[in-house]
Amino acid sequence: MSSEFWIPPSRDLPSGRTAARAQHLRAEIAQGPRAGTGRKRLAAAAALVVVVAAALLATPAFGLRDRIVNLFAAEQPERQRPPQLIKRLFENMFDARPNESTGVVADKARVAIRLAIPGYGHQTLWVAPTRAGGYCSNVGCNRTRSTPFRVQMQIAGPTSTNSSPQPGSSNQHVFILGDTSIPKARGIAIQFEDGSFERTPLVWVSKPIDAGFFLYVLPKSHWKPGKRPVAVVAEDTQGQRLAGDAQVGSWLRDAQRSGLAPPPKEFNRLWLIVPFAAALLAAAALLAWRRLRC
Amino acid sequence: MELDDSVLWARSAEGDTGAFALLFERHAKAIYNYCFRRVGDWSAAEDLLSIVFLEAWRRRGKQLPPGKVLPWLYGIATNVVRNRRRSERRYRAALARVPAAEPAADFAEEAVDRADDERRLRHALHLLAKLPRRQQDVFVLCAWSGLSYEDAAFALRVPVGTVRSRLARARDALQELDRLEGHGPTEVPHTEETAEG
Repeated sequence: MSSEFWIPPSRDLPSGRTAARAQHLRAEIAQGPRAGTGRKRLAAAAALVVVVAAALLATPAFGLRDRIVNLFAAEQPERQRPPQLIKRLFENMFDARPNESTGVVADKARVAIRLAIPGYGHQTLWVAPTRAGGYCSNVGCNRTRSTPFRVQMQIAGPTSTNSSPQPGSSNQHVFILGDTSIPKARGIAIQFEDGSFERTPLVWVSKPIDAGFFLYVLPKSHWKPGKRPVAVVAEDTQGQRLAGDAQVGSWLRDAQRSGLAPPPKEFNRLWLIVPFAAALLAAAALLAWRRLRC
Repeated sequence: MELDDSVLWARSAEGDTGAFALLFERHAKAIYNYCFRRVGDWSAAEDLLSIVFLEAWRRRGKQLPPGKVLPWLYGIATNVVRNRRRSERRYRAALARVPAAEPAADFAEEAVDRADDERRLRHALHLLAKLPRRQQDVFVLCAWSGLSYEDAAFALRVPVGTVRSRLARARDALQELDRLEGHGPTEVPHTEETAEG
């Protein structure tokens, strides 16, 4: 047998060690599980994660809250009888051409998208078919599908869809919504002034509506100049541009000029100098006082 | 009358620390040697032995088929050795309470033998380390610790056929490695399926 593969000899534990280890084992298992440092560390790490997550979510400047709301708040389109208010909304819509009815079938209105937004409620995008083969939604009517891609911006108040936003109040919500009847459209990209973009899903509603709808909550981080939206683009599965709308940027700028959706205030870093300067002054005063005493 | 492992295990599951201590005394040597064969250090093997049994106590609710307590302990030992750092960290506080070894008067000769074991095992582990971890497990369990294929399969939670094939591959690979390193034909320990665990 090669020296490498002899069978290692079987040995007893050193003298007295079996008894010592057995005694130790008995003592350990008799007293039950102790609160180990591992658990303490785990608890500390969990607490740290919670604190950091809370801080990130609570800080509007990061804009994370809006994203997370978007992530969890999207609900599946539901089939339900439209409330009277919605039916009236559709019945009172007018076609772009004067004296021409939209021909909307208000009884067949249904929810395309519904988002739950904390501190606001729900934002719902209703859709209804028209007799001419088109559809109407909160955005308006596309009676004969003559417009393949439509975009609208809405600014809503703090507590309900009916309350008007107060100019200057930061407690507002900006929605970018719209629809497309381009069959290849599979997603929507919102492009921003800084060159970045975000994608939002397109919810395709089956026939007779047969169109895609989107509803995007514009994060407050994108209310800032330099980061505002400049265009909304419909894309296919490959991310290729199918249609676009560049009016959204001017809408937000106009709204901000009238005091709506004000840009979040930047934290002035100069304020950081104040405590530093105060500490420096205090140290200088202490030094001067000591010298005077001497 | 000596109680069967399964009876002791059942009592342990009910919280009988005395029954568990009996299991320890019965199998400490086997697990101690197995740990040594995996790490090549008698002192570390002693600590690993304690960890294996503390871990077994933690999992005492596990239902075991008759006659499978020792293979199951081997399975725990395999995991403990594989995750050695994590295991030692978990039981660091418990290990710190182990009473210190008292110096033995006529220990010198045995110490030399043990040092020799460690030296020789280092060479073997050096070759063994070149095998996939799963083959190492099977080789040490079957060829060095004498577990049957069935018990090794239970310990490692794999089918018996897998144990057979891994062991065959491990033997072939070790012979080849040994030949390449210039030691000539190697007699890798042969294991019968009926080998005693």
